[in-house]
Amino acid sequence: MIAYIIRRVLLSIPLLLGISILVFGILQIIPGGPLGHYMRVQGANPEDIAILKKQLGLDQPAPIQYINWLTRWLKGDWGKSYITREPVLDIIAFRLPNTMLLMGLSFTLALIVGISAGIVAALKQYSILDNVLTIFSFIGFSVPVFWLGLIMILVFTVKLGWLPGGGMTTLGGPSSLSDRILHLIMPVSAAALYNAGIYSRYLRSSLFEVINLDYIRTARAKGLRERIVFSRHALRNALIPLVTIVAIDLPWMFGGAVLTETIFSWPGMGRQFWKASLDQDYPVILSMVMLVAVAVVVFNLLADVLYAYLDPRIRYE
Amino acid sequence: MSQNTSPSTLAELDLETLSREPRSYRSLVWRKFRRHRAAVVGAVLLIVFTLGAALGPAISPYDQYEIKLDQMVKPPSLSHPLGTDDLGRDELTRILGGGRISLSLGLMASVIAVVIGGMVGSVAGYYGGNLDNALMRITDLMISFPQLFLMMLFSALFGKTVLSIAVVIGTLSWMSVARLVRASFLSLKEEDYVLAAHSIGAGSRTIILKHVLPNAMGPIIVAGTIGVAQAIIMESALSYLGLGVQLPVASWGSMLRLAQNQLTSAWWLALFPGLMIVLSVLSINFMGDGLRDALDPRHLLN
Repeated sequence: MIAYIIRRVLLSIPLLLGISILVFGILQIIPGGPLGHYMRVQGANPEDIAILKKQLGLDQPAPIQYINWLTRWLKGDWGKSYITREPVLDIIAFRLPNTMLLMGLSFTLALIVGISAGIVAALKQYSILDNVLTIFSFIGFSVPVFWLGLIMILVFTVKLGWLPGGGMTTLGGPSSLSDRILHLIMPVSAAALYNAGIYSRYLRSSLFEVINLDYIRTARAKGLRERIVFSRHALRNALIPLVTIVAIDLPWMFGGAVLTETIFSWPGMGRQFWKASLDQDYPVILSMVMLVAVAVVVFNLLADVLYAYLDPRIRYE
Repeated sequence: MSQNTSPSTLAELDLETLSREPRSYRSLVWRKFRRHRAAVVGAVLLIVFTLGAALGPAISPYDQYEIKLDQMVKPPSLSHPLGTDDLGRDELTRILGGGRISLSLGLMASVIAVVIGGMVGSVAGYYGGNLDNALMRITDLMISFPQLFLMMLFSALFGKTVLSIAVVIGTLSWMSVARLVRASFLSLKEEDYVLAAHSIGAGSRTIILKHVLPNAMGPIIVAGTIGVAQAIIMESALSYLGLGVQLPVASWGSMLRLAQNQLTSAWWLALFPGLMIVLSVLSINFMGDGLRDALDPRHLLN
């Protein structure tokens, strides 16, 4: 087990390095290079640019620049936004908790709904209920989340006036828990639908596979009650592949759902990334890409280790 | 399956059974597909949409770009079945025109993804060893990047024509196809016909393209189909965010972007483009599900 973990960790390191090199490479090919923004937008003249270059160490060969950039990044110096001059780290630190709140709740909802739907569909295979649930799951991952959000706002805010149309809190109003909950309902459900659809399909097919395996038949032959057979043996093992999928989705707690946050004006990472893309604010863009990519590698690693822990057959590959 | 039961005893082998035409692979697949009702409905819908998108703007009495300020923002009526937008353009015609963009872009992106993924996966799976390791590391690297983020970044960098957006989406979506193809190749390369081809002197390229690839087509077709659906959603997301197709060319996503500003006054502008996206993607997904069942070699063994 330990050997497996060490192996996986060692494999992740070149991956992380590769990611950093790629991100650095993108930084170089931006039109005008890292200082392009100053030239294009703020009309700096060539002499100033040359002085800046020397100051920021941009006249040195690429590998040295890369090492400098990487060491600075690891120490937490992520540069300053082109637009607002705020340190990128502050921008991200401010937005990250909002995104984690939104995405955390939405994942939880997606898991609850998805797992329940998957279990029901598998137990009542090919029945009407199964077909209905299947159609709902398909709709779940076929609906673009921003359109769903638009329609939700149309119905619940414009036509019915029940729920607020965006933001985290009502401006100038009391910041009570119920106010925050009202603001959370639509974004969380919109973001959860897609994943709920996927999780339910996955669990359904995983359960199908497991239910037909020999050890389930043995458990029944032993005389165990069907409910125990199902929950302790079938379900537990069917959930394992789902763990990997969820673990791979979790980095989005950092990246945020760009579309959901934009539609609902949620002040999170995703919306910030969108604004930065429109403004071509590359320090922000690249730090976010790095952050999410690193999170993906770390969570993949955790997922693999968890999977090996839950399913001992994997360890001996 | 009433006509298809194979004779279980020798006595049932009569002249009729023996002289029946053997069922081809293609007809078996088609029969399996037909039994999946949702897939058939999806396929029919898709054909309808494609025809509508291809012919619609041409035969419509309205021009999708013509601005008629006296017809601004009218709700659905007999003369304008889906209403008009804020510049007086007929919404139905615009939706059909948007369909041209969205559907063709989705197809292009998926083709690009399948070609790249197919090449990477087949080479990795067939040759194995260090080449396989290297290619899979690159694939893992690409997977680690947040797809939507990179798409937003690249479309901000590389321009926003229909072709460049298709290329951006395609080059960031090939990874799952590569994995699928690699898995197929890993198992198929052990088959006897590969050994036979090798022994008569066939080169690796010939073996890959002429012998193994046709047998690996099943998962590739399914992945390609579902890829079109994903590409459509990606493109509409990019266009909605302002980073995709630019005006005056309209895709369903950019129409939603325009509709957002008039949500309170013109609900039909938000409802219909999105509905089209949902229906198209749903049809493609059902079709893909049906194809997956139809092409599954296990089912054909019956």
